[in-house]
Amino acid sequence: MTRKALYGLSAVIYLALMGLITLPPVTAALDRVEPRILGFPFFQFFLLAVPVALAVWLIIWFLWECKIEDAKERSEEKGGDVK
Amino acid sequence: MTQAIITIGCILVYFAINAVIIRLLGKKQESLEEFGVGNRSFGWLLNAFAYIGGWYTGTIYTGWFSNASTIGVFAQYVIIYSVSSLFVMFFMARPVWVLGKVYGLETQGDLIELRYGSKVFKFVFALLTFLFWSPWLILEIKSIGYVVYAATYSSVSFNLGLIVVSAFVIAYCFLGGARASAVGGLVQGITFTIVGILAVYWLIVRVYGGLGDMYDTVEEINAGLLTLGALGGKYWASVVITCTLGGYVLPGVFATIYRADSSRAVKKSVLLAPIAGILIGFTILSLGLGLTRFPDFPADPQSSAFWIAGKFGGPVMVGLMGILALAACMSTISAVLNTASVLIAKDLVGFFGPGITREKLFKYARTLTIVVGIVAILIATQNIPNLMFISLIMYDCTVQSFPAVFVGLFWRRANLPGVSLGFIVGCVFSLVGNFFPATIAWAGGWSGGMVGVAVNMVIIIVCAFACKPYHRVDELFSTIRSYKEIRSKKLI
Repeated sequence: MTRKALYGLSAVIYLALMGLITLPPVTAALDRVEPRILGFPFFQFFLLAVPVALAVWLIIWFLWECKIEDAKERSEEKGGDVK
Repeated sequence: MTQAIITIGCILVYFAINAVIIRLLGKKQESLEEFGVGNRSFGWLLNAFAYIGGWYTGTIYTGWFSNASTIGVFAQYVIIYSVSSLFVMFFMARPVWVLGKVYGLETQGDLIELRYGSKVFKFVFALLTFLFWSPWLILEIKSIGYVVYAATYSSVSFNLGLIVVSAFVIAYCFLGGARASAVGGLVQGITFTIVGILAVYWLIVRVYGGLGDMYDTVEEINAGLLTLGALGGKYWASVVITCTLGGYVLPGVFATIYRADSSRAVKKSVLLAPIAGILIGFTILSLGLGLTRFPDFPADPQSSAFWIAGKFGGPVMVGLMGILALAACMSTISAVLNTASVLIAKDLVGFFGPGITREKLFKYARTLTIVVGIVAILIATQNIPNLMFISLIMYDCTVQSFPAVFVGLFWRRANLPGVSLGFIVGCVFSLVGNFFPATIAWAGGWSGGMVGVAVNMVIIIVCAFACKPYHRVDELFSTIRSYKEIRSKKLI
């Protein structure tokens, strides 16, 4: 995967997660107390799950991007073409 | 009186620790680059806590805490928008840092000038973003007065507290510039992240018996506090989106990016900040959720964090709560002061005197740290009705700089006519929408700021296709693309 594609994938994940917690029709469906998930009231669970998912994706994104950059540098050192 | 002596003692010891660490890790300031962006030398840990310290304001222990007890989980929008803003920051970390390094950028205005090639637009942009941002400095200084007053059992007056603590912050910003501000942020950020989370969780257990019991209690007294209730829907969406976009374009965020020793260090800092942010926001706002069940809940809910700390932890816990809130206030004020002084010197004073040397700008920036600090203290000691309302309106206006900055970083066709017209029209929509809400009733519940951003974006897109593309910006994009990533494992 190229860095550009990774940025595109991250944008899609970001918009999907933020859409889940901000789009009025979706939040209207989530905005209730029952059923509880892992002990958290229904809406509170999503209020926490979305930022946690974003934080986890940031870590994956960082590690993946480092891997892409390292591969690119190694390839440049060898004088090969890099996509 | 004994209780006040204990809390004052705790706060004084904490100040001494701050002063010693800032002195030990500080450096003598010799240039504008060092004063404004710490010679672009900060390791990821220093940068992470400087960011966390600057981002999380003391009002989370006063205003936001009281909101949690009165409007429930709605107040937790702070968690969503903080993490969301960091995600946006991760996107722009590389382009902003690379351009900063290659072209010697020190302010957000420098980036605007470089991208759009206009000194006049840089001046207007810097002036307006500073004006939109400044009410938050005053609010934060006011929070100090409030925190000291509440944490010392009313034995230290509001004005004396804010003057003494603010003077301490101004002094270390003046002497140590960006590095002192960041080291202060490191000490203060660690305090309210690690100590704060543990202390507040301990209080949750003491007050409710644990998280599960807390939710049962809240459901019993008012289940509506666990939902968005009547405030939900478009208003919730407007608040989260506006705060995300506005949070990303605050001038302090750019200073944080420029100060790191590599774009990878910025990204690494951004990994720690959301986790800390989720834990800080969740614990403190959860503690506030069910406090209205107590018959002696204070008439002024803004002091409820100190009241509950005293009720279940005694004066030592009140002192600790005071330290946490002061740490959050001081780190935000120092970040704003340092960035604002460099912004005024370089983007505003520099505009009227293009021949001013960098040595002189450095002197101006240092002097302005004191001037801005004193003016902000003087305003904060006045009774300003609706300051919070003014600040929120200003935030709606701040958001209007988002398209100019973000779109300009990723889209070559964005041009000066589009961003300048979009920025001005967006601000007009924000102001009109806030002062005369009836005029945007047709938007069906979306805020003036959101309507402004939408119009702003449309103008930028139309102008981009209506005007010829700039070939001058190709060089900037190719610089970003070809810049070789620096490897750095530096912590501080």
